[in-house]
Amino acid sequence: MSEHHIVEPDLRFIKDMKRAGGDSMKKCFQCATCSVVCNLTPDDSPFPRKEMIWAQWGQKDRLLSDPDVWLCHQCNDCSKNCPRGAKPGDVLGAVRNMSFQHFAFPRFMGTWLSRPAYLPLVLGIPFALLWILIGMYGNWTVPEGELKYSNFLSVVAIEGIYITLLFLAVFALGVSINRFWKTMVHYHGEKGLMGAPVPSLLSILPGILAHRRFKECDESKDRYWGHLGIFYGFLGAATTTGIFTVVYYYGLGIHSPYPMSHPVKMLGNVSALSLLVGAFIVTVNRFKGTEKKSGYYDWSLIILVFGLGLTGWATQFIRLADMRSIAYPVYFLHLLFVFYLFAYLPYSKMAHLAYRSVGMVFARQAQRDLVSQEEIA
Amino acid sequence: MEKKLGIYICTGCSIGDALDIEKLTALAGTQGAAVVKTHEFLCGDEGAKVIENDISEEGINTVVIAACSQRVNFDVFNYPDTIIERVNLREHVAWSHTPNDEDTQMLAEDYLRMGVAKAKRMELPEPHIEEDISRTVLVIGGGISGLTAALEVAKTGYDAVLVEKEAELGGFMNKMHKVIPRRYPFAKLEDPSIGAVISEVTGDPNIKVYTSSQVEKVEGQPGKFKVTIASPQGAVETVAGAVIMASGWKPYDANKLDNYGFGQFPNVITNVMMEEMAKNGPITRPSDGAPAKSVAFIQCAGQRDEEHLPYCSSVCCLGSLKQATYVREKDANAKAYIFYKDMRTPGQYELFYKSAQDDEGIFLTKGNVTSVGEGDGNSLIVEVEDTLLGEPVKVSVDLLVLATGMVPTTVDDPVLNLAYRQGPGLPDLELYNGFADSNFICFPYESRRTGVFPTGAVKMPLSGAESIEDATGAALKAIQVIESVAVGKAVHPRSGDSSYPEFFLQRCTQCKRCTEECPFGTLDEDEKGTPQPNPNRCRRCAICLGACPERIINFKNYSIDILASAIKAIDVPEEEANKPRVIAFVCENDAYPAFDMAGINRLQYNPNVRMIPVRCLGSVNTVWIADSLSAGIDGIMMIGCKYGDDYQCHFAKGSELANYRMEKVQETLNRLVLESDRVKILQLAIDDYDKLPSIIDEYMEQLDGFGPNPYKGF
Repeated sequence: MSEHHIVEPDLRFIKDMKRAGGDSMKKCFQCATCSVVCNLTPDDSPFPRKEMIWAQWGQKDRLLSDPDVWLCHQCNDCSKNCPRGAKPGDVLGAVRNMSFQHFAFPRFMGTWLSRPAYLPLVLGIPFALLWILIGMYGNWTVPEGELKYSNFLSVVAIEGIYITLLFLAVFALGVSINRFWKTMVHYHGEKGLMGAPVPSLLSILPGILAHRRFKECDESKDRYWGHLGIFYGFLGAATTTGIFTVVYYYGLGIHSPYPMSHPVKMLGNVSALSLLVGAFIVTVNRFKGTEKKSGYYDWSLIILVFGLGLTGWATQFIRLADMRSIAYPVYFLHLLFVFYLFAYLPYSKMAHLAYRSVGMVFARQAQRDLVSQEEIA
Repeated sequence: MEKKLGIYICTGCSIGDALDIEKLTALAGTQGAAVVKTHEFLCGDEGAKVIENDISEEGINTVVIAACSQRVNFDVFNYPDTIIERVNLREHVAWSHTPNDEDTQMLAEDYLRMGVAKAKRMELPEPHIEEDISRTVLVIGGGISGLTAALEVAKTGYDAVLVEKEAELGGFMNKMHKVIPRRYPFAKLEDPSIGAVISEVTGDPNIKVYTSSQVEKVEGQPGKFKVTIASPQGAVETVAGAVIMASGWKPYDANKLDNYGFGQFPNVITNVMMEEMAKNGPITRPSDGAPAKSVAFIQCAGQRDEEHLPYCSSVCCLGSLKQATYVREKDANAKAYIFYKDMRTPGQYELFYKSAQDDEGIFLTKGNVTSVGEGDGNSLIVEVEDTLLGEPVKVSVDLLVLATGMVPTTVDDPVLNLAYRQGPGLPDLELYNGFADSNFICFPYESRRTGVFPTGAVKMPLSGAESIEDATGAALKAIQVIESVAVGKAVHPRSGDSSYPEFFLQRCTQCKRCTEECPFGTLDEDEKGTPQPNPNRCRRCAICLGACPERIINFKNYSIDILASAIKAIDVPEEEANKPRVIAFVCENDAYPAFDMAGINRLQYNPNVRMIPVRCLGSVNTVWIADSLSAGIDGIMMIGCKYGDDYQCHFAKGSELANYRMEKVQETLNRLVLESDRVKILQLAIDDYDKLPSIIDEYMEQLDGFGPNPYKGF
């Protein structure tokens, strides 16, 4: 881009960025300390310095199409060392949040999940839907005999709702990610991309699974354990649900509840523990660190993780303890959290699992993630 | 006055351990003193009392104190109506030379003889006091600096006469829409509120204001300047004791800038035009009157450019941040771009920069503006390279503001219109790009015209708040000079000195060297070229004394004869003794204290050098060089302050003049078949004291190569 490029700052975007966690961004005076202290940034056009001036100048397209934003793992080494308190770590976090909004399909969902004002709506819809469904297909009265949650709402009904939701979410996320990819190609693809997406994904996957980039951080090393716990907690929970549903329920016809000694059940419990421990570390970290701000996106996800883990465990223990009076309401809550997780996956911070992976794939193809490449070599 | 000499030798501070005091006292006894005493703690209460008693009871009126440096304990050894000469046996002898050595002893004895010789010829200065000193301060310029200075003068109980060229008071502040914040947290723009200051000035009975007027002529000297004011009512004459020059600045002519489209596109304006537009209403495009929704500012529009203004104008970055801030305040959807070379917001104004930077709609980047052209529908396209955005950028704006710099009024106008022999304005202002500045050591208010104090933006680019602070100080300086001349005393740097040059005019040859060379324009001339002294303009540097080939200019306590007698008092050993003798004329302002510092740090140097403190190196008359050489002295060092564009000379020109004169002396030496390098002229800063031993050693080595002065013993 050697020609003069017409620059038209987007005032609205600047306001949105400030709300999405980047309110310190205007303080940057481009000293480049951030890029120097960052262990994850490439030597050529390093982040987060250039992102900081783009943010100040309201360069929405540049930021939302920038794969570097996803190479950042928000160690906050930059924010800690910033002489001006501009918190580049938070600003890049805000860009990521803005990406969830901007590429969202349908777009209004991105807006709904972006600020607390919409929270009654965001929670009210699943609440009402579940309430209606239970009214139609379930029963609030606990029958005599063994406490079984399938008496509350049949497995088929649950599968019906949640599998539908999952497919919708995957579809929506697919559309969003497609938009994201196209934007990146539009702005940064002219230099040419190396290789194809799938092999690139496979080549970065070991790094993701090992959380290698988190280990490069100086400032917040504990985040490695927090993220690892939540990551594998979700992975374990998903595996548990998948095996029980596909293999046991539909394949073998064995219905829940499953005994506590069952290996898959044990995996489920370990996963829940992992989620909770991870969420605890992350929470402590957020209260401890002064360089980092936590916004709506962050707290929504942390509360979701706690909610999922705690209500998941609680439903199990209530069943074992036969605490009939609170069993269904707690289970209802659990269903609500799962609903949130599935339905809002493409628009909440959870979406970063897709955006970050895709961003990192693009970065690999655009040869931006030199740190990982060196590791491989 | 019949002199009665007392010599007092202190043996404290290791003087007694380094020297044979008995021998020294014996020498003192041969000097015609009525009293010779030693004391182990002369600056203590008891020691000082010894001298005091001798003065009051024995009638001692001339005191030679052989103890520490003249720069210390001057408050202790302070006896009214008594001639006092200090001999520095401590810093310059005991602390810097081998104890109980023959050469050290000879050094101390020479210093004692030199001190006595001087004291015998010195007279008590009688201050020159003019009748009817005026306690009115003339203030030139009615802007924020001049108004402040006049008010401060009046509040202190003096009178002020304020002369303003324009019909209205207030200067540029009157044209301002807003001013940059003046108080913490330096975030909110303030109103100029100059109206209140103006009414305070016009309502003050001690301030006489002349608007639409100019100073036509200033004659005379501090304490009695005769001022002619050209007013609409005709010429007015008044008398002032001091002058505050607050004539301010004017904007650089944007027509001289050819690359930003000024004059070509109506939507390109200057920062001063922007301020006027904002004061009078909404910010619009001059081309069609439509609201300006986006405004770009170009910093250093001529500043820091050798082709235009080579200096940083210091306030334009702040000015543009201010204007960008009110562009945004007037319209929340407006955008303001600032393209700068370096964002310079000195001091506390950094906070203002931070606050402006925080504004969503202010976009800052370093960059070089490469072109300005027309875009669609009355817009302008500004192209910028080397930006922080990592690539050349273009912005489309409604209005382009050129942040032009401040040009001092003194750049093409003497302002003062002094009726002085050396000209109507302050001299050598080209050193400061035309600003009425000086690097007069340590005293930023001083100018080279005594009693004239430049202040505000005529002195250097300053903001309004800085001008207020500066003008307050200038008021105090003006009062100080009035009160000093009222008692016949000098101002900086020889504050309190009541000696002054006397001219034995019968022998004057009207060569005009003194009238030309005085850095302060003290001397006027009659039609024949005879100097006309104005003692109140004099800074007592004695550069005239150094200049005069007829040696007719002398001070009561500093004269050709006094120093010549000190030179003659040096005992020059026979050639065979192999003890060379060097005289060092050292400037009292930097070089002498540097030698003191060397002593304090116990740095050791060659003991064959005899120091003679001088008021300024420019006060060294060539006859002293001739006297020294004919007395058999082998070499002469002259150590003064740095001269040139960034001079450190306390009298601005003294060191430079000394250098010029010594070139002539060296030519003469060559004619006399003497090595010209026997006379060595050096510049030394006070913090160079650690270099002194090596400087002296090198010189002594060089001198060794020349061999002894062939005139020795003649």
